[in-house]
Amino acid sequence: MYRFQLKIAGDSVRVISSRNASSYYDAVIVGGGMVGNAMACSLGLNASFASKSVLLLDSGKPPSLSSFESGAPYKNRVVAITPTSQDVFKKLDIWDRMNAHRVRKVNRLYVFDSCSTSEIEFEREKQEEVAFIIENELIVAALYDKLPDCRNVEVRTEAKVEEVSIPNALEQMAYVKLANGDVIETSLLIGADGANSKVRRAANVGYTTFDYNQHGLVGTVDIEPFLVFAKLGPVALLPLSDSVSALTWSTSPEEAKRLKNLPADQFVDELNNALFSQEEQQPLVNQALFAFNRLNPFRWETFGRKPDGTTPPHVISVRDNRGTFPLGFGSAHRYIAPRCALIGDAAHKMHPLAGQGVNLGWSDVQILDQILGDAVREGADIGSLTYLKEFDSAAQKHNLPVMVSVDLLNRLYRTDAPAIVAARAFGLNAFNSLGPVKNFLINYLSAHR
Amino acid sequence: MLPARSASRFVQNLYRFHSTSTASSVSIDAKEVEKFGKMSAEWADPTGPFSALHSLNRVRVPWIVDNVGKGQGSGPARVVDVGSGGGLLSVPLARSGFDVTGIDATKEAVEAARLSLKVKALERAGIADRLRFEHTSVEAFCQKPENKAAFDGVIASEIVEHVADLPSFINSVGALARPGAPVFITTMNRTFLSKVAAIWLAEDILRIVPPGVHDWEKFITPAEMTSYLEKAGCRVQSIQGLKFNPIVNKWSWMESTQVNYGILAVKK
Repeated sequence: MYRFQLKIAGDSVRVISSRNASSYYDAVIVGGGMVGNAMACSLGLNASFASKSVLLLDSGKPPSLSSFESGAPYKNRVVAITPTSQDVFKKLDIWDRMNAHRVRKVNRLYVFDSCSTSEIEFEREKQEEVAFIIENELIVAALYDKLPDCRNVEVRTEAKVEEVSIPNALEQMAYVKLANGDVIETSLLIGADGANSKVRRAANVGYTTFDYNQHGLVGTVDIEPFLVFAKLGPVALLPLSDSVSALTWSTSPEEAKRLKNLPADQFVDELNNALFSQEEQQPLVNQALFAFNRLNPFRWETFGRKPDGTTPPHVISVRDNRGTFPLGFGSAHRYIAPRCALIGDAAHKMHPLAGQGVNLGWSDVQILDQILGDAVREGADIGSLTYLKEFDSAAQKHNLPVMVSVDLLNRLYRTDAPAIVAARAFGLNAFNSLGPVKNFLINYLSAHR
Repeated sequence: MLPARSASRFVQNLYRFHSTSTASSVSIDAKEVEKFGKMSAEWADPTGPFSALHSLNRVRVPWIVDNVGKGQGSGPARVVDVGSGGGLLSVPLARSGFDVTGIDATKEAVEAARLSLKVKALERAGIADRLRFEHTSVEAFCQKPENKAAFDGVIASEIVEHVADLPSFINSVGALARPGAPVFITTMNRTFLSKVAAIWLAEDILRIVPPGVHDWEKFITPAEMTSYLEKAGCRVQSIQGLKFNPIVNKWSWMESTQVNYGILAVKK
C-alpha cells in the first residue's frame, strides 16, 4: 500500500512537470506502422509541407533494415502489395531500398477451393505483375530509414499515447498526452494506430465492426519450388523466394491455437493434409461443374486439365515463427472529425483474404497527402473540415467497393454447405471464364494509378 | 477560426456602447464602411454571407504566394492586405509564411479580425505573431515613413469596388510597394454581364452575397484600372478573368474578364 502511494506521488510530480513540456506540431501522426510511416514520408517529401512541422509517434523501438539482410530469418507477417502501392514507394524513393533486401514479384495468383475443383486464375500479361510479397517489418524499416532525409518530420519512438483529445470545432486544438506526461498539441491529428485506434475512439465517429470468429495463423514454410501466390480454401501461400513461402491459414480460434502449438513435424503433416486432402471435396458439385464446363461457351479448355504449376506445392518444413491473430471487419462511417483524419486499419479493417488491406491504407496516404498539400498551398487550416471532407469522400469511394467484395468472397469461402459450395464453384468458374469481369477486379486491385 | 456566436455578441455590444467611428480620408465611402460594420460578425464563417470570399482563397492565395518573392532581409516577405475586412485573406496569407499587415477602414471589421487572432490555432502555430490589423485608411497608412515602399507585396482584393476615390486609393496602394514588388488587385468589371451575374444573380436570386453589398456603378473596367496603376508607378503584368461556380462554391481562372478579374502589376 505504502509503495503504491509513493508511485502515485511520483506520477503526479511528472504530470506537473509535463505542463512545461507541452509542444506544438502542425500535424501529428499516431502510429509508426506501415501506413503511419508512409504518411510521415509522404508529408516529409511534400514540397508544400516543407515549412510545416510533422511529428510521428511510434510506440515501438526503432526498426532496423539490417535485420533483413539475406540469410536473416524471415518474419511471419507479409503483405501482397499492388503495383499501385509500388508506385507510392517509388515516389517515396524507398522502392530500391526494399528491393535491395527481400521483395518477391508474383505475376500469377490462383484461388483454389478446398471443397471443389473450381479455381480462379489471376494473371496479367507477361512482364506485368499482380503483386509483390514483402515482409511487413521490412516495409516499416525501409520507410523509417527514409525519415531522417525529411527535415520537417520528427520521430519519437517508444512513445506511448495515453490520452487523445479531438475538439468539436476548429477553435480548439487536438492534443495527445504521452505516458511520460508530455502534452503535444496539433492542428491535425492523423490516426494510423491500427484497428483498435485510440484516435478513432476519441474522434467519436461511428464504426461498424464484426468478428469473423476466425483466427489467422501465420508462419514461414519451406516448400518444393513453387512460384505462384496460391490460396487453397483457407490456406494461402505467398512466395518469398523459390523455395520459401509465407503462410496464412484462416481457421477457428481454437484450431489456430492448436496448430500454433503443434510440434513442427506434426504441423507440416497437417498443413500438407489441408493442401491435398480430398475429404472436403464434394463429388456432386464436381460432377455438375464438369458438365457445366463442357457447356460453357466462354471456356475452351476442358475440365481437369490445369495449366502447369497450379497443383498445390508440397510443404517440406516450417520455420520457428508461427503466430496467430483474430480476423475481423471494421469500417469507420467517417474517416474524419475536426482536426482529425483516420488512415489505414484505424479507418478500415478487412479480411486478409489476399493480403490487400494495407494497400487501401497506402491509398489513404496518397489521397490525404495531396489534399493537405492543397490546403497548405491555399493558406487554409489543415484541420479544417472543408479539406478533410474531400479526403473522406475520395478515400471511402476507393475503399468501400474493395472491402465489400472481399467480405463477400470470404463469406463464400468459409462454408462447406453443398448449396453454397456449388454456388461458389459455379460463381468462381464463371468468374474465371468471364474475362471482362475478372479484368475489372484485377485492374482495380493492381493497376498503376 | 473565429467563434461566430461570441463574435456576434461582441459586435452587438460594440454597437451598443460605441458609435461607428471611421478613419477619415478621401477614398473612404462612409456608407460602405457602415454597411460592412453591420456584417462584421459573419466574416469568419466559411458557410456564411462571405462564403464566396472564403472559397476565393483557394485561387487567390496560391496566386499571391507564387508571385511574391523573398523578403528583403532574413525574415519572411512582408505583405499588406488593403481592405482586410475580417481578415479572411490576411490569415491564410500569414499561414502561408508571410508577415502580414491587414488594414481596413471599418472599425468593427478590424475588431472582428483582431478577435480572430486570439484563436488558439493561430497562436500555437506562431501565425498570430506575424499578423496584425490596423484600423486606418490606405492614404493615412502610406503617409507613415515606415510604410512607404516598405512591402514585398500589396494586395487589394475585392475592395476597389467599395472605395470613393479610386485614383487616390490606387496611388496609395502603389506607394506601399517597394520597387519590383507585385501589386495584386481583384475586382469586378463594369459590363452588362457583370450587372446580370454580380447584382441580379448573386445578390437577388442566388443570394450568394447580401443584397446591396455591391454598387454596379462603382465597378471598374480593366482598362481604367490599368491606367490608374500606371499613374501610381506600376506596370501591369497580367489580367486574368475569374469564374465562379455557385453550385459547388468554387472559383477558377479563365480568359474572359467580363465579370470578375485579377490584375497583377509590378511597382517600377
